[in-house]
Formats: sequence, structure tokens, C-alpha cells
Amino acid sequence: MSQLRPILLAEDNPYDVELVLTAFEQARLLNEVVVAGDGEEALDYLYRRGKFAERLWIAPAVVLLDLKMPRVDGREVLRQIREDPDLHRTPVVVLTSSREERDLYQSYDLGANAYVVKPVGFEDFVSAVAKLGVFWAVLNEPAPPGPPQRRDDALNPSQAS
Amino acid sequence: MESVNTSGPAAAGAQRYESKFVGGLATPRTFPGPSPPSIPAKERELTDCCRHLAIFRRNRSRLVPRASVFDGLRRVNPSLQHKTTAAFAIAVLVLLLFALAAGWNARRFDDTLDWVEHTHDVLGHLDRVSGGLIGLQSVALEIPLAEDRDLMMSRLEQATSALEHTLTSLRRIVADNDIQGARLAELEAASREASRQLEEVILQLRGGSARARVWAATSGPVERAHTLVSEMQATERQLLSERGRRARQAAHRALGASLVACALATAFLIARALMVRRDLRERQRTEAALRKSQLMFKRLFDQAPDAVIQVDTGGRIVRANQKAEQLFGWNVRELDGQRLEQLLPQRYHARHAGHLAAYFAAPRKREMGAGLELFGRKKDNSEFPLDIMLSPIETDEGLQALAIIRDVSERKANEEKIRHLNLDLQLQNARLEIANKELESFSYSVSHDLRAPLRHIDGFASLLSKHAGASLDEKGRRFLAVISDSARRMGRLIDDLLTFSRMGRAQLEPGEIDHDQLVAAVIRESGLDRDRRIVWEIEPLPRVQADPAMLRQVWFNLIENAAKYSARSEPPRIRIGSLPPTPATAELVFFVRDNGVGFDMKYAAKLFGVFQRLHSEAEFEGTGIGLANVRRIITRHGGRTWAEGRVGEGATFYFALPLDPAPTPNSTSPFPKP
Repeated sequence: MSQLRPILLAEDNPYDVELVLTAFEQARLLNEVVVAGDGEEALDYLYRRGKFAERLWIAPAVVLLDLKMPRVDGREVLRQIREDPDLHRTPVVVLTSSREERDLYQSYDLGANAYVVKPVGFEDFVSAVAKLGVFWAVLNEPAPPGPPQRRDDALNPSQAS
Repeated sequence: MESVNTSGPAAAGAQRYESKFVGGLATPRTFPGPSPPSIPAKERELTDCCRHLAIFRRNRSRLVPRASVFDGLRRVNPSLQHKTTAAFAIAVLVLLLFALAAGWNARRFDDTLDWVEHTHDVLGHLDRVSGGLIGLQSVALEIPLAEDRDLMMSRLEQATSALEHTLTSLRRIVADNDIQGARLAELEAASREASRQLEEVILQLRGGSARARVWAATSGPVERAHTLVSEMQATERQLLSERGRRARQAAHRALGASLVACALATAFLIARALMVRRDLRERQRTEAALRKSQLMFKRLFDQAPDAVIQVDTGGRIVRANQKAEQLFGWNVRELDGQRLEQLLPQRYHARHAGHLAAYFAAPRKREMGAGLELFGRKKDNSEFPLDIMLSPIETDEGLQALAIIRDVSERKANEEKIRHLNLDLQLQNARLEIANKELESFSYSVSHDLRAPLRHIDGFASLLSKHAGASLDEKGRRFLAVISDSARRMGRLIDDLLTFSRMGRAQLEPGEIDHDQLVAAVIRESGLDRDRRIVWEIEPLPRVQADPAMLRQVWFNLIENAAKYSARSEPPRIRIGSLPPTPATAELVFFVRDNGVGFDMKYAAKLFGVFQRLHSEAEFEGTGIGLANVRRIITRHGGRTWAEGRVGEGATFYFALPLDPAPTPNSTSPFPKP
């Protein structure tokens, strides 16, 4: 199953990581889950540097992004992904505890594909994360790699030929 | 402070002023404020204050009377003066003309009188000529009778020479008149002819036969001479009457001119007298006005609420008023002649001399508090802040200046106080803003961070239950259930609290609300319409301006509450209605009434508090945030909420919205007003 793309989970809280992994396990998702402890590590994975420099790299099926993380927070990661010509089509789902309006606004403004509030109840949590994983890793069709299309030229003038 | 000398309300005011000033100075020192005021802010403020105060003073100083009164008195009307002079000159000229006319006429009268006399003289001569002719005639008459021829000859010669003599003198005086001259020549010829003929007669004739010849010889020329004399006399008489008439005319003219001149002189004198009288009255009035104005000036000077000091160019005090006495503590008599520096602290002396010289070099009105921080020195050497207004005045002793001085201790103290208060207010605002921001970030971090551990508690309790559920007994499983339940409940509490906080912060977006629709929608969406037991009594409701989303929350909470607490009644009745506005309240009142468990009115105040509940969780589930949200929303709309109820007899919850919704600022406090 070399075609399975990994899921990049950017989450600083180890308990949450454990719960997410448990949820994936219960949903029987076979995709590899790459865990980044903060935004910096997430970017390291995406740019194949730091501790991920030597790894075999496959573009992630989805980035599950916590907003509040030490060092580089989720917003910054999202911003860099959207500004990078190679990464900007990567699906990003914000997975956070916050239901604050400004977080919602900011995330969507930065180009998040979805925004999911982590439910407090375990059953709800497992169900939500499992559905997320199945949808993005299995159902969703990612964009094939390739240069930016004409419409993006306008969005990224620096890339225009 | 020599308050002993002072009397009257001004002095009393001054004493009050002083005592306030002392109190005012003390205040800023005891002022409680942890942060020292920032200097630039203070200065900016001070500049503004000064500008405002300057405007205020400029307006008021227009009321202060100055040298204009004296100027007015001195000022003369030049055109009036010129006019008066011209009138005077014309009057004199006219008088002179009439006097000349009178003089000229008098001289003419005199001349004419000479001529009259002359005529009389001529007439006299003519009479004598006539007499001479008669003499000749009488000689002629005697001839026939005469014996002695020689005697007759001598008598004839006598008569002839007399006539000749008269005629010669007559010729002298009628030389001016040609007609009379011609007649005279004829007359002379006639008389000579008569004399010659008589002489011939006398030489040739004797006896009685001669009489007729004599008569014949003499009658012709003599008659002719007589006729000539008569003609001359007639001419002279005519001249006489003519000259008399002329003399009278000249006399009349001279008299008339004199009379007119007299009349004019009199009129002129009267006019002048009137003018002088008017001038005198004017002067009296002016003097009275001057006295009044001087009195007013003196009163103003003496009783001015500010110290007023008159200074000469040398900086010497010419005079000072009572207030100056009070302000500086010096007696007025002590101040007279003193140098102004006496009233300034030592450190200002040098600078002040320069200022004064510069001021008198270019004297103009200087406003109070024109950017200078000045201090005065009292007799006891204590100092106080003051404001000075200088205005130049012209006096008999030359240019001087009036210095109006005000003790601004109180104002300074007040300004200080105001600055502190302002600063305090700003500080409080800033603190409030900080507190708000902190609360915001608090609720943000609650949202982010507080939920995570709860999720973990519930999550791992669930995992544990799955992992070891089989090996746990009933009690152990119950413990795990309680842990999960509590975690979830806390999650709900946090969510409610965050919602409540959001209600306070979110911007109001008012629109017109159709309450009938809204209430129906809320009942439908809450699923209560499916509860067949509930008896709904819903009145038509008025429309109102409010935020629709928030009002939906209000109705939802109230209706859900009513349904919850009346669920055990048979049947549950929920009545929804409104009360019409009264002029006194100008608000629309809505209510939701149920026949549920009700409440004790002594707890009514607690109902709308955050997490305040009158029933246990076991009796009626809920977190106790609903009514707090209702109150917060209604308060933000400028309305009010209250409730009525009795235990076991149901409850009514009211909320009132103002008819004219005044926009209320976003609530800054996350907690409801008590």
C-alpha cells in the first residue's frame, strides 16, 4: 500500500496525540500518522529538514493542525503552506479546542479547508476524529503534484513567467 | 496677611479664597495615584488650558474701561472750530462793510452840505447883484433931477464899482457851472452896457428932458440884467433843492447803514453769548462726566477683585488698590513710591527690569498668563503664583502702566487637581481596557486550554473503562462514569460561560423583529411543539427593534425554562404575551408565564445571576446560565428583566425593551449588573 499518503498531525499535547491515534486505530485507518510536536516540526516535515531530512518523503493526505502550539503556532504553519507554491494545495484541517470566532475567521481567511472543534466527550471525540481521518485520507482526492495553474499565477505574481 | 485693614465683601471673598488656596495646595500631595503623570501629556493639557483661559480673559478685558474717556474729553472737533472761525470772520466783514457804507454816506452828506452852502452863497451874491442893479437904477432915476454932474458921475461910479465887485466875486464862485457862467457873462455885459449908457447920459444930458432918455437908455440893459439874475437865482434854487434832497438821501443812507451795523453787531453779540453759554454748559456736563468717570475709575481701581498697581516707566509704584494691599500684605502707603521689584521674588529682579524696559519701549496690552509662570512675593517673603495683565495708560506724568495682578494659587491648585483627576480617569480607563483585554484572553485561553484536560479525563476514563471494564466491579464502573460525567458537565459549564461572555462582547446588529414569527420558530426548533401535553396561550406580540439573533436566544431560554419547570404540572400551561407601553415607562414589556414549580420571591434577585440556580441539578438539569444570558442581552438593548412567582404556583418572567432604543455601548463587564 505504498500509495497511502501519511496524515501529518501537528499537536503539542501528547494526550491529545494519543487520543487521536486511538481514534484512528478504532477507525482502522492504515495511513501512517506523522506526529509533529509543534509548528516548527510540522514545517520541518513539509520541507524535509531537521529530523525529517533523511526520511522518505510523501506529500501528506491532510494536515491536522492544532492552532495553539509552542514556537510556531498553527496559523503560521497554515500561512506558510498556503504561500508555498509546492505545498499550497495541501489539505489543512484545523483541529482545536477553540470555538472563538476570531480563530474561525483567521483560519478560514488563511485558507483552512475545514475547522473542527475537539469535542470534550470521548465518544464524540473519537467519532469526530475517525470521520475526519476517513474523509481526508480515503475519500478525498488530493491534487496531483504540478506547477501552479494560470489562476494561481494571478495569486502568486512572483511565480509568473 | 493684614486682613485687619480690609472690610467689605471683597475682603471676605479674599479670605475665603486664601483658605481654599491652602486646602487646595495640600490636596495634590495626598493625592492617591500609583503612576506619576506623564510630563508631555501634562504640558499639552496645560497649553490647551492656557489657550482657553486666554480667550476667556480676552473677552472679559474688553469690559475694562481705559483711557478712552480722557481721550474723548481732549479730542476737539476740528471742522467745528474752522466753521466758528469762518462765521466770525464773515460777521466782522459784514459789520465792516456796513460801517464803510455808513462812513461813505456820511461823507457824501458832508459834501452835499458844502454844495448847499455854496448855493446859498451864490444866491446871496445874486441878491447883492440885484441890489447893485437897483442901485444903478436909482442913480438913473436921480439923473434927471441932478444938478451936479460930477456928483452923479461919482455916484454912478460908486454903484458901478459895487456891482462890478459883486459880479467879480460871483464869477469866482460860479466858475464850476458853465450855464451860470454864461449867464453871468451876459449879466456882466448888460450891467456894463447899463453903466456906459448911464455915463453917456450923465455927460450929455441935463434938465427934465433927459428923464425919458435916461429911462430909455437904462431900462433895456438893466431889465435884461434883472432877468438874468432871476434866471440865475431860479437855477441856483433848483440846485439847492436838488442838493438838499441829495444831502437828505446821504444822511438816510448813513443812518440806515449805521442801524444795520448796530443790529448786526447786537445779533452777533447775542449769538456769541448763546454760544458761550452752551459751551459753558457743555463744559459743565463734560466736567461732571469726567468727575463721574474719575469716580468710577477710582471705585474700579479701589474695589477691583484683582490687585491693581499703577507703575511709572521707572518701575515705581504710583498707586495701588486695596486688593494689592491684601494680596501682598503691604500697606498702600508703604507701597507708594516703592519699586515694583519689591513685590517679586529676588530671583526675578534682574529679569523683571529688562521686561519692564522692553514693555515701555513698545507698550501694548499684555494678556494675563501669556505663557509666563510668574510668582509674587508677600511682605512676609512667602511666594504665590500670579497672573499679570499690563495695559499702558497716558497720565499727566507721562506714560505709565496699569498692572492687574491675580493670585492664581487656587486656580493652579485646581488645575493640578484636574490634571490629576484627568490622569486618574485615563488611568482607570486604561486599566479597565487592560482588564477587558485580560478577560478576553482569559476566556480565550479557557476556551483553548481548559477544555483539553477535560477531554483527556473523559477520554482516558473511557479508555480505562474499555480496557479494564471487565475486571472492574459495579462500583468501579460507576466511579469511572462519574469521572466522565463530571468532565462533560464541566465542559458544558465552560461552553456556557464562553457563550455568556460572547453575549457581552458581540456587536449588536438591530433589526425589526416579528415576535410572533420568532416565538413560533423558537418553539418549533426547541421541539416543544411536539409535546402534546403543553397548553400554549400565545397572544399577538408587537414588533420591536432589536438584535434578532440575541432576541432569539432570549425567547429560547425563557420558553425552555417555562417548559422545563412546568413539565410536572397537569397540564403544563405556558402563556406568552406583552403589556402595552405607558408614557411613564415608554417601553414594551414581554412576558412568559408558566404554571410550574414557581419560586420563592425572596430569591428573585438571584434568578438572573450566572450559574445561580434555585433547584438542584437532580431536580431540573441545567447550568444556570440561561437567565443570566437573558438579562445580559436585554440590558445591552437598554431594557430590563424581572420575575414574579410563588412556590408551587408558577412563575412569570418579564423583559422590557425601550420603545426608542438608545444605543448602549458594548458591555465592558463580562458579568451582569447586580
